Amino acid sequence: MTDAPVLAAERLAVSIRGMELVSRVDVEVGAGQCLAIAGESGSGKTVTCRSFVGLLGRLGGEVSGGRLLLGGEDVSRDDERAWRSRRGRAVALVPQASLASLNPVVRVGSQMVETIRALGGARAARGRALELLEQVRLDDPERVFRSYPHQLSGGMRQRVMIALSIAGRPRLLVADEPTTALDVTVQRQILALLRDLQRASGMALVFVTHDLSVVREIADRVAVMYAGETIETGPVADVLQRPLHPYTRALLAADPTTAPRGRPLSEVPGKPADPRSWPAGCRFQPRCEHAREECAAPAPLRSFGGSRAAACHRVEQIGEGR
Amino acid sequence: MSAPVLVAEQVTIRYRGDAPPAVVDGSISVAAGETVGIVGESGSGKSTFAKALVGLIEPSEGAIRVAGRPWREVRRRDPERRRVQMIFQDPYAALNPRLTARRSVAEALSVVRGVPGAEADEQADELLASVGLDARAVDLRPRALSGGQRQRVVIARALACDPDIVVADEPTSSLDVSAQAQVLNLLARLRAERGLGIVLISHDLAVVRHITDEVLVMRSGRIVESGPTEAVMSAPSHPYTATLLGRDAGAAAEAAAE
Amino acid sequence: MSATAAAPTHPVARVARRLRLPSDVGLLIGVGTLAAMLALAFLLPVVTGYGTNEFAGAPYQAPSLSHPFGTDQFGRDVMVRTFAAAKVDYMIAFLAVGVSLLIGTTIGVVIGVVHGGVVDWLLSRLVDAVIAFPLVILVLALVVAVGPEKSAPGLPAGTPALLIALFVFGWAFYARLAHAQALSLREREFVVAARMMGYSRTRIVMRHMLPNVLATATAYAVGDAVFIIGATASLAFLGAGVQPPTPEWGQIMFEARGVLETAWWTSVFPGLALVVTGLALALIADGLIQRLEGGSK
Repeated sequence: MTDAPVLAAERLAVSIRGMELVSRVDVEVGAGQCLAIAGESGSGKTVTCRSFVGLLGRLGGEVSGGRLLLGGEDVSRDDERAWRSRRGRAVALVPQASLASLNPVVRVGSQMVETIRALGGARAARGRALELLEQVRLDDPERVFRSYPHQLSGGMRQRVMIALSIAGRPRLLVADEPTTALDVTVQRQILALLRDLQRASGMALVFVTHDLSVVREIADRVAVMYAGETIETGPVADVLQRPLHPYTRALLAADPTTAPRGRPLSEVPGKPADPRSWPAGCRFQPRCEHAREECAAPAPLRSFGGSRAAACHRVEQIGEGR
Repeated sequence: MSAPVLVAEQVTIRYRGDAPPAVVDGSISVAAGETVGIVGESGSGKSTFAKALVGLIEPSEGAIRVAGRPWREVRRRDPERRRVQMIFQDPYAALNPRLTARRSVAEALSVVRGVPGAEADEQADELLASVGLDARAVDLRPRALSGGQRQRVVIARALACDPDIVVADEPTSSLDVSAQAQVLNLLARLRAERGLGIVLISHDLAVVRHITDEVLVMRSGRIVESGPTEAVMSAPSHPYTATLLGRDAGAAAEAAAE
Repeated sequence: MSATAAAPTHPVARVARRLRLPSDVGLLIGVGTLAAMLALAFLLPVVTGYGTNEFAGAPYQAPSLSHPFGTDQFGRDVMVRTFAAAKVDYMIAFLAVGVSLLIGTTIGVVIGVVHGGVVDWLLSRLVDAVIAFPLVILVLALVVAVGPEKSAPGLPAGTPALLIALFVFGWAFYARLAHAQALSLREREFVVAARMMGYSRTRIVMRHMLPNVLATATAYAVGDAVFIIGATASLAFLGAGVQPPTPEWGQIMFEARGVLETAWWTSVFPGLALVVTGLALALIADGLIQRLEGGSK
């Protein structure tokens, strides 16, 4: 049993067709831990999560810098063949909830059996499929097994996707906004399900989302991304209550769930950064109210004790109200 | 309190066939300057109700009146038609992709308010500036604008009709947190400055809580609870409302602790 | 939701990017080629002094310096005739496609807006009927009925019949395309918004729906032009196309079919011109479609 974290990204950079979309991701997840990657659109969080399961090739992308380590092993330059043997067994992906995740003309049961067989469990594949459907808390697994995807509700389909993703007992599960398109009550159930599955199996969970209340509900640690970089990391409660980075603060002040009531929500001026025109220095600088001259230089991720880190030159000064 | 502009009385909306009605006994009353939220999950009927409120769908039973007149009697060119406008969830689909921001708004000004050509362009520019659209973006087509900018254009176009009430159907669901904040603040400002009445339909309770005075909770076509927003959200009487709120309990506790 | 970079996926755009050319290069090459061919059509007779229907040298001369494409059975310069045919073929394609596009698209949008009721039903069945038959046979029948030898002011012999036949049957394809688009546009929020603001139906159709439909229809139309030119050339082989002596690629190749082995230049050059035109049109169609899709959310 290795001591290395299940997943570690060190200054990971990802490019798609020559354009760099992710410049620096520094995160780590251990067994039994849940890491949330939070960011808005354009932050690079989706590309990052795809890189964790080796699905970049399909997009014409590649790891263009830094390292990606799975269980201590450097997989940054692995090809499709290496990833294919890994996918489903060592790492698995739960995609965003959509009708397109499942083949609409094939019954759910057949799709599950197909996946289970591909993972090497030909015998009793049907039994295993039903067992998985029970594990994801579907009432009447037999009926779901026989159904076509469109006959199931969004929440049920998502449970099927989760069942498929854990079929190979992966050590790392990457979930890309799996609850975004679902109703609030269903969302809550799915999150609880994921948490319980994680605890039962000891797998690591990476959860990509733009919703901070989801982060609070499911994650142990959070990494906030902006313009292709990790700009803050730390334990969820700490980061959400005492954010260090101005962007994290702005996000919290703009989110109606966390913002103080009775006042206009805080507005972050300007638009999210465009990968084609990222500033040379700190990428949040054009929109930051605390920016000074030193922010014209790139901001490295600095540690701040309590396993927290932030990529900002002026954390100390801002904290003191300067 | 001014007289209500938009009133729905026991509206039931049925689709063709035997499917259960989308809305049953829906009632609402909105005056200028009031903000009412309608919350519910998918299938609650809130979007159908919203479409009926703006006169797009005929109720099977009950009536919806604008300034006293039922929608079914209002003709295209009647003044009541422009008094209630809609803001949509998908701002990209809500704009004609071939028209620049200025053109979309200017057209509304000239067709609905009879403002002549060149003046319409000027007023459109002013209107767009008043909703916070960057001056450089006025000449751009929707494709070149961000989600938040598109939504501002949609709002400006709706405002061009000089409505008393705006029905916003999930106006920020497809927007990022930062863009959402801008749009919500804009709506609040419009209400304060112009006395605009707002009906906000959303599945996001935090959004509704932030901006509305009254709220209706819908489930399976029925309104299960209604009342002042703060009261309903801090002490719901109906179990379904409590279930919906369950997730926000954590956030509320945090906010209270600050 | 997330904005993946606008990385070109279209093969032409990818090649263009690698060669550091603007991604529109396909479109430019296509338009440039057509323009060049037309320019040559007008310039060559002036520059060379040979007419399109004049004796210019001994018959069936192989390509030489004085006749780069050789001469045909009547001693006419093949190069001058080949490029002159471009004028004829382009005009036919332009007129046939243009009229079908405008009329067919408008009818299609109207059906889409009217939606339901007798008018919708009747027009839709008409469209279905026209599309159900093989186009070339219908066109042939109509050309023969009208009279392939007829001409009209500005239109050489054979073309009026051809154009009429192409109009009568061509519009239906555009109508179907436009109808389908109109149906989906109707439910799009900006059309709904227009209704809510009280815009008139005419305005909604003319200003909001039609322009959005025409954009796609035009891209389709350019591809259709390739078909039209091919059909025109084929009809010449059935005697129902443009009549001699007017130069038209199909007609020229038809006349030259007997001497394919001995005087290859009389068939090959017109054939190449037709192929090049087809390629240029295809590049233009691709470029237009790329532009249309290149700007989605």
